[in-house]
This record gives sequence, structure tokens and C-alpha cells, in this order.
Amino acid sequence: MNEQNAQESDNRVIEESLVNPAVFAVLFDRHYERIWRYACRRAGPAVADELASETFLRAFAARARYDRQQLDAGPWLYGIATNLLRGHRRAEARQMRAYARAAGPAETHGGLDGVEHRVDAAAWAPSVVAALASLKRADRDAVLLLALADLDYEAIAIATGVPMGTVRSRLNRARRQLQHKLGLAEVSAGRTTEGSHP
Amino acid sequence: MNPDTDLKLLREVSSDGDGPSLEARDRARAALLARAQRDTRGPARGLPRWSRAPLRPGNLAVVLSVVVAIAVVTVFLHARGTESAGSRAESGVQLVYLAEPTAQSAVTPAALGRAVAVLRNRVEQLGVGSASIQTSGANKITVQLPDVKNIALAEREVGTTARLEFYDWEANALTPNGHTVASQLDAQDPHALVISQGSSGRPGGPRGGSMSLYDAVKLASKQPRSTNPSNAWRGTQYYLFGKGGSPACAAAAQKYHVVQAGRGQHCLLSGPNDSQQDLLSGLPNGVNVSQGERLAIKQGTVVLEAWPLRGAPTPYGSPNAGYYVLKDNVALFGNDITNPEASTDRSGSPDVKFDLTLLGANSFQRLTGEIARRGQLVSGFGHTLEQHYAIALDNQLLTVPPIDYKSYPDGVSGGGSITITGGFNVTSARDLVTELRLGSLPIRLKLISEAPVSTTGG
Repeated sequence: MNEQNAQESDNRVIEESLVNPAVFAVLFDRHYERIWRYACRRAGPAVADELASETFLRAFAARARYDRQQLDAGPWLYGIATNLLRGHRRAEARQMRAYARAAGPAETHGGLDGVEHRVDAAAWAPSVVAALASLKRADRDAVLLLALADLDYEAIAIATGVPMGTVRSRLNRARRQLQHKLGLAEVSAGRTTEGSHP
Repeated sequence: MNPDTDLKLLREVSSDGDGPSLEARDRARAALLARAQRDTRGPARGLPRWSRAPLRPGNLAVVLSVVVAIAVVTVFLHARGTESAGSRAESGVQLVYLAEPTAQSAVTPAALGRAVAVLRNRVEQLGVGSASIQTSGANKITVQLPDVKNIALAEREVGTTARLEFYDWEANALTPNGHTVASQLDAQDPHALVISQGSSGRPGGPRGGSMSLYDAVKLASKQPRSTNPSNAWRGTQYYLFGKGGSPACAAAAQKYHVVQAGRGQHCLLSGPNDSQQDLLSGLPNGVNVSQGERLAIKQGTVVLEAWPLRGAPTPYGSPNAGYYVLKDNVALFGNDITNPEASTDRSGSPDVKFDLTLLGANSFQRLTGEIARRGQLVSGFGHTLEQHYAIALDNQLLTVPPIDYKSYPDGVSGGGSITITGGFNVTSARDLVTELRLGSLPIRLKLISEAPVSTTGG
């Protein structure tokens, strides 16, 4: 991002795009990759291509309704992408099954340590996928926005269009359930990470 | 165990591979820009009409130009009344232009008003005395030049709207076999190397791999149609060429004030035009279509004239000029430029500085970032193959500057002032600034009628 763009927050870009629609491309350049990565983790690369593109078309059409108090359009875009994912349940389920089937280290990051890490992750995959599948849709969306999109509680509230309190309870429920199904509950009982995500 | 293990596992188990492909990203961006372009033609929904365009300096200029245009028309009407009362004017010409939308702008009252201001400036530069420029209907502009003597020159100068475009040079320039230069650099293709690096370290010149206009148009005419919002040209462009040494070429040389093409060369008889009818009506007197070879360039390809030697302009189509064929993928348009200024560099050489709009700055960084990444890829250990962008004004290359990928691996910020150096003298730098200030029009003007004006007084 260059200096001028850094000064122009997303809300300013969206406002400008109401007069000059092509300016919306600035928002695309800033956010496309992370929206694509989020969609890819949830529904695979083929769906991510289509879904990330559609996210920006929907956002463009709805830009006049954007809450211009929000400097960062990221949560809004993740929200649109998350809603669109509802139309791709089969693809998402297919992608989850693929993760569960991944028996070995499909890819490596960071040398030998990375390999060991992937082996661990691959071993966990079937139970993680099963645990995720057992969650309610809204709870799953919240926990995946936290884990995969790295949004904080406030941003998840914006993305999903519900109050912070609802986000807090959804995340508590989802994480408790996940930790329980994965056998992590005993170890981390009584310690939540809410503090790091105010 | 870490209390965030559940979140970590969710990240570890899922994968985003290598990220989005460039093709998918470009497709998505093009789809968005196409939607934005459609939206440009109609107002955004959900907003009151007048709240859509807050009065900013740029808009103020448009408003003022409309006011000036109205004032000019009023003055003209008054002057004409005086004329008819007894003055005796020489015969001149009336030109009627049809305003056409381009990829960047629809024909709006504001765009028409701005066009009138640009035409007025051009007419003043022609120095043809009294003139009238007025809009008629929603998309026509009538220019009356009662005192003009060189009608052909007036026609060429008045209706031309300056268009400035930035291209990724190597990604779009084509070698004589029709491949992009960038795709042939790894294979060390000699044509690609000379177009990329230039014959004297400055690419885009009349000798660095350029070709004749005929060869360039011939190569361009073989390229498939490819349409996207970044095209500077819409539709098909038609050309008619004659054989050097023929009477048709002699007539063309006289009409366009260019050197006559010799045997073995070709001359431009007519064009470029976006309709075959216009191509025929542009033929020199006494020349008919059977005396030439018709070539058509489909949308998606453009022919750019090389920057001229020593800054001396060469008339378009001159047999001495060099041309390049590029894929018409514009990275940045002239209407993204603000505050152009002529100045001088540290050594006292003239240069041109300008700022970019928010969108322009973003596009500039994107363009130079891609060029820097390619520069890094094609340069090997111990050798640097500089990659460039090209700036073209009215399809003539102004300059083809390199991007130093070592200093700017992520591209050059478009947030500060951009300076174009090299190849300018004081006059050409000032002219470019004038063009950028007044002529960088997004709409195209097509001459639809030309009639003699004889204002003999009573």
C-alpha cells in the first residue's frame, strides 16, 4: 500500500466510489487476497475464485449502504463472503472431507519443524473436521472468522450483523464444543482467550 | 496445552495453497471494473441526485467550463449580429462533431462542457480569429471557423482530444511474430530484447525494434479481438494504405503534409477510423478505395508511434516514423492525472510533474509493482534486464521509463508527485502540460459533418 492509499481509509474510498465508481478497485486491491484465502480455506480454490469475485460485486452494489463510521471495510467484506458461502454448502462439505482425508503432510512450511507440525495437523484433521461439522452454522461462522480470517470480536459482530454479546456467546459455545470434541477441554478448562480479543 | 490450540488446529488443518492465481484475480478485477463502468453511466442508487457529486476543485472546473462555454456562446451570438450588419468575412468551415462514449466516460453534459472548453483552447492556439463553439442536443458540438484557411489542418487540430495512457511496456508490446515481449525474454528472443531494452538503452524510440506504420498495422490486424474495461480504444480501427510511389500516395503526402513514401514502402491513404464509411470519406481528393489496401485492427490491440528523435514531432503516418504494436491494456488513464506542471530537473532539463488521483495512485503502484516483480524474475545473477512502463499521448510514445526493481521491489508509490523526464524541450514540456490540463478528455469526438461557411455580409 502506498503512502496516499495508507492515508485514505476504506470508508473514504467507498465514499469516493459513489461519485467515481472505478475507485472501488482500490478496495479490491486492498482486500481481494485475504477474502480469497478465507474462502479457499473454507470451500477450496475453485469456489474461492468465484466467491471472492462475487463478494466484491455484491459489495460494490451495496456500497451506498456501507456504514461510513467504519474505517476498515475488511469485516464488511468477510461478512458478504460468509453469507455467500451459505450458497456453497456442498463445496464446503467436500472441502472438509478432503481435509479429513489428508493422511500425510501435504505441504511443508519452515523446514523439519514444519514437517513435524504438518504431520500433527494431518493426524488431527479428521477429528477437527468432525468437530466443526457438529457446530451450528452461526457458531461455525463465528469461530472460522476468528480462526481463519483473524477477526476480533467486534469485527465478527460487524461481519455477521449481530451484537457483540451474541458473538461472545456463539464463540464461547463453539470453542467449548470444539475443545471438548478434540479432547482439549480438560487441559484448557477455565482459560478462555477472550481477553486477547476484546 | 495452549488455550488457543483449537484455533490453531483450524488454521493448520485447512489450506489456502499458494493464494489466488493472477488470472483469477485479473478476471475478478475486470468484472468489477466492468460493473463500475456500467454504473458510471447511471447514478448510484439510493442517493439524492445532487448529493452524488460534492463540489470539489475538479468539479468546480467543470462547472466553470460550462459557465465559460455559455458566456462564449452569448458573446458569439452578439458578435455574429454585428458581423451580419456589414462585415465581409472570408470563407471558412463548419465542423460538427458527435460526442461518443469511451471506456472511461459516458457523454454527459459535464463531459460535453469540458469538451467545449478544450476545443476553445485549441481554436485559440490555431489563431483563426473569430470562432464559435456550441453544443447542440445531447451529444453534438458545432465548431464554426469563419476565417480559417487551412481547413485540413483545422480539422486535424481542433477535433483531436488528447489522450494519455500508461502501459506496462514489456507485458503488452508485441514482437513481429505476435508474442508479447515479456513472454519471450526468457528465451532471449532478439526482437523481444531490442524492443525491451531499446537500441541505445532507451526503449520505445524510432530505432529500437520499431516497424513501419504499415508493418505495425499489418501485425496488429492479425491479433484476435479482446475486449476489457482497460482498452483505450473501442471497436475496430480501419486503415487504408497505398503503395509507395503511386499517384494515390502522392495525393496523400500532399493532403497530410508528409514526405512521400518511396517504392517498396507504403503510405497511409486514410484512417485510422472506426467506421469504413469514415475511412472512405477521409480519402485524399481523386483517390478511390480500390487504390489501397484496407486493414482492420480489432479491439484489444493498439499501434503506438515511437517517441520522436530529438523531440521533433513527426506527422502521423510519416514514412520516417517508427511504430510499435501493443495489447491495449491500459494501466492508468490521463483522467487519473491532477496538477500537471512543467519544471526542470537538477541539470536544468525540462520535465513534467503531476499528481495522481486516489485511483490513479493505486493503479500506478500496481503497475510498477508488477513491472518490478518481472524485472526480478528476468534478471539473472550478474545481469539486470530493466523492465519498463510506457506513457503514450494520443498514441505517440512520450517516454518508456524503467522501474528499478532493487530500489522499488513493491513498485513506486503513486502518492507523491510523478515526474516524466527525458526527450522534452521547454516548448514540448509546456505543450504536454497544456494538453494534460485541457485536453485529457475521456470522451471521443467524431467529425460527422464538414461544410463550407461563407459569411458574406449584407
